[in-house]
Amino acid sequence: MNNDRSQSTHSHASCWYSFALALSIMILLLLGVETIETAFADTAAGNTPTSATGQNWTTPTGATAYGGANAGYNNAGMNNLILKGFNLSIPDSSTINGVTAYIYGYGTGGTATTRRIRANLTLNGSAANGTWKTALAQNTTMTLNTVGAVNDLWGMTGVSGAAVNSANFGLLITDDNTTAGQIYIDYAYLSVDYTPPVSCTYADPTVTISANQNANQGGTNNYTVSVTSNDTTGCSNTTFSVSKTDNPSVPNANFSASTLPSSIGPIDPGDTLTMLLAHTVTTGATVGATLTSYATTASDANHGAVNSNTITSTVTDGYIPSSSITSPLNNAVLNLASASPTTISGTAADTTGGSGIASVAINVGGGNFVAATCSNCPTSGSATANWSYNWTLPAVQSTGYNIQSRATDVSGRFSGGSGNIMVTVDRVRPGVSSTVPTTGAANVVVNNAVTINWNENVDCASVTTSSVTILPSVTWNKTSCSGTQAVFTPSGQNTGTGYTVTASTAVTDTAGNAMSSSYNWGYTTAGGAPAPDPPTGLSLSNMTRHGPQVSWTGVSGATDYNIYRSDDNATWGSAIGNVLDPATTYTDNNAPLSNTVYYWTVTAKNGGSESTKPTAVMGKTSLHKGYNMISAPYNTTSLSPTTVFGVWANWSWLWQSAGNVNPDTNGVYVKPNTLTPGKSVFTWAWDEATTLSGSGTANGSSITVSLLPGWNMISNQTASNMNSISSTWLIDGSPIMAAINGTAPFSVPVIGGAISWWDGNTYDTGNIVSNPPVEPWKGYFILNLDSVSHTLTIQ
Amino acid sequence: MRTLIRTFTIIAAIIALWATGAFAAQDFEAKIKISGSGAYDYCVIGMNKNATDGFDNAYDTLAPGGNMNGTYITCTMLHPEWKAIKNEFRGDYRTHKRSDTWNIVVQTNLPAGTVLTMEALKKGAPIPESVMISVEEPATGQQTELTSAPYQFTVTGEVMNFTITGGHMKKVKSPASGHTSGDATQQ
Repeated sequence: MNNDRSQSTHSHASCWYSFALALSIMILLLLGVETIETAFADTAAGNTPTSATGQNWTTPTGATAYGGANAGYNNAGMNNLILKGFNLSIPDSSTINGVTAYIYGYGTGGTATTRRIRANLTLNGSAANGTWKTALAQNTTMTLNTVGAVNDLWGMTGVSGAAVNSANFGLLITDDNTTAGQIYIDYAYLSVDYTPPVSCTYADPTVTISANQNANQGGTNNYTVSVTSNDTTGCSNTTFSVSKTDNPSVPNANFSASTLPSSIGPIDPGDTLTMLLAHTVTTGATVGATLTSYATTASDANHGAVNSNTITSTVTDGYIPSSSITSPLNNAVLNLASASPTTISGTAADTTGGSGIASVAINVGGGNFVAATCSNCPTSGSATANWSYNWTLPAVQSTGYNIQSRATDVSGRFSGGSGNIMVTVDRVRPGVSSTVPTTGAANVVVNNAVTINWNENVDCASVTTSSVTILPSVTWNKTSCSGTQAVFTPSGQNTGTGYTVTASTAVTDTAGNAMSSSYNWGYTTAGGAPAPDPPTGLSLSNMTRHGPQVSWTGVSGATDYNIYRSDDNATWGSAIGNVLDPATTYTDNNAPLSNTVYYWTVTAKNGGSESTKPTAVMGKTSLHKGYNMISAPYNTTSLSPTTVFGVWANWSWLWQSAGNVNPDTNGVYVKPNTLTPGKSVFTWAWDEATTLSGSGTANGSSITVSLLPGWNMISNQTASNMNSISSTWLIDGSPIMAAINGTAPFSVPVIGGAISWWDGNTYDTGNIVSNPPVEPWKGYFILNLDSVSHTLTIQ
Repeated sequence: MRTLIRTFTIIAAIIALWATGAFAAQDFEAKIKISGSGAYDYCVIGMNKNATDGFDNAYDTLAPGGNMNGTYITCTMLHPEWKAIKNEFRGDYRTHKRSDTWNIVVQTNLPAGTVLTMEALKKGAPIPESVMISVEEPATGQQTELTSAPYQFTVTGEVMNFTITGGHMKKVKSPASGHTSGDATQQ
């Protein structure tokens, strides 16, 4: 039998054949599940079954070809027309999935429901082996009847390709026993659907191990060994025997015995299974030691032995070194008596088996670690390293510092700040900040308590009736002491008597720092003699910032003198000092600001009575050590800063604004060759011994300067304070407050509302609307908010 | 009869002041000074009848930036919402009200643990007796009255934030009569 479809005729049969074939292929493509081939038995193209017999059939061979005589049957029995010998050539071990029979025929007689054709399959050429299938036959009209399907084995099982290839495999056709008339078969053919056998091809597996690893001493490297079966799918699964090769062999001093299962599987063809290869490093392993390994799958009947790639395990340092601080001790207090630099020292060591200490670093109060000096680094193994660090103690008041040390071993591993202590640094001496009664207080109730406040906590053990005394001597008890305050109570005081209380340098703060000098002040109890005359001959000398000395002529009958300071010669607060007669000088070491005019006056006292204040003396404090914002109140045109102020003013700087997008940064300080009246400069003073003074050609009472966008350094060009600038200064010829408030002729604010003078610590800022005094010899910043220049008339 | 009516009117006004919690407006200004280890800076807070709670060029002051010292403490108040030429202000005046709060930012390069002192000092005129200025302790929320005593705190970082409350919150006794003065807050 020829199965080539091209040999089919252009008949109904070939049409059905083509349609069935295409449908089968489409189903196969769509399902994609298994390979199904269609063998084809076609009687229409002359591929006549080699056998066509049938008892009681007329012309049985008529059913072997299209057209011509028909095989006919008209008998009360159910004799079969046997068509066989289709000569199929399906692979013998194929699995037959289904058989479809196409029978072209018709019937006569009977009814539409009783005129039926029956069909079955035979494996031995005679007996029906399957289940009978029935198709209705059209009355006298030749019709192609289809029975069976691609997945219908007609009730049979286990039918092989060899069975259908057999010459005895055939189609049985008969009529239904109930058919009253005849049936006629023109021809019939078969379609056999089958799954061809799957082949098996063996191939060596693929064996791989994951990448190299390092392991700390005492650690373990876990590698993944992967085995992939490369057999084709027709093969059965395989369990592979596996071995490993270690170099050097383990266990040894550096590695414990490595572990790997002895087999892996079963692995289906194409599948991959993994297993664990572990290398454990001994705790005492040598840093840098290596172990290489590869895995091997053993050969078997179908596979050769296969080696994996080789991996390397390297030993790394697994020990973190430690360090400790031995000096200073935890919670130590470092004061002015402590050496500075003070030595921070300690030890460090690596764990047994470690690589040794390479270096030590310390951290004081946060920030980065810095290197300490190690006297014997690098060490080996667990040997102790000795280290030290010189710490220059800061001048701070009772500040806690966390000190940490950190050791790094030769392998680069380090502790996370293992040494960890806290120390307190206090290198500022305590000072008296206020007292009750205040200095020079009069009419104090007899035996009133005396309160002393320091500027930091004091060691109350150092505050005693010996370290804090009162003269004239009276009974004197310490009532309380806590924190920054101590209270003493006198008894036996006289009325109208001046008393001087002295806190000596025996008083210390909690860190043990003593007061830099004794502090004494006086007050007078209520009652007593009439007030003496005010002192005369007031004068000033030594006008440094921290040492202006006030002198006066002593007054007869005075017991002591009160000294007062004012910044405006109008407002006087409490006395800033008190000295006992016959002293006639007082050093004011607490003037608040540099390069600033102050007024001093002195009263004479007699017990609780105090004289009136005589006319004050005026003086100006010296410059601040550091930057000062200065000017000269006379015509400095074409004069250099050094000509006007002295050679120390060589370091003078003028802010040159370049716009006001960001007034703080959009500009630079430039070194001016000459000064300009109405402008000011920053000048660096190396000490506090310089007091600005001098004279020259006076400027006019009014001067106009240009204000660039941004900050501008200006000054009072006259020798007197300007105290009404909000009403006297002009911007572009109009009142400055209009420029500040953005009122006519200005549409928006163009000038900042304040002026600022650098006082050595900060910019002392005053609102122009409040008329801050603008002093000669000082310099001030003023802000031009606009994007264009304006003029400022200073007057 | 007219005298009776006038008397009634005055009494009614006083009652109304008490009932509404009103207070007698008075300008004040104060320096909030922060100092330690020889460095200091200050902010200025205040209330002024001509000021608003927004930006007042005549009262809310800008200062030049940059520190001319190695060791510094700075005090600023941030007002980006004012959209002025800078966000950092040294002075912030408000309109009259019973009390208000100011958020100040203290920056320093002094080491952690350094003790700083915060004080309320007069700027020009003395701070009226009716004015109370207090700072809220950041950790506990406790208020410390700066107009009575300085407040000490330790440096915890380069930037520290504080809330200052100020206003006419004190009753002031008249030495002569012992009655509440006209400057005082009516509570």
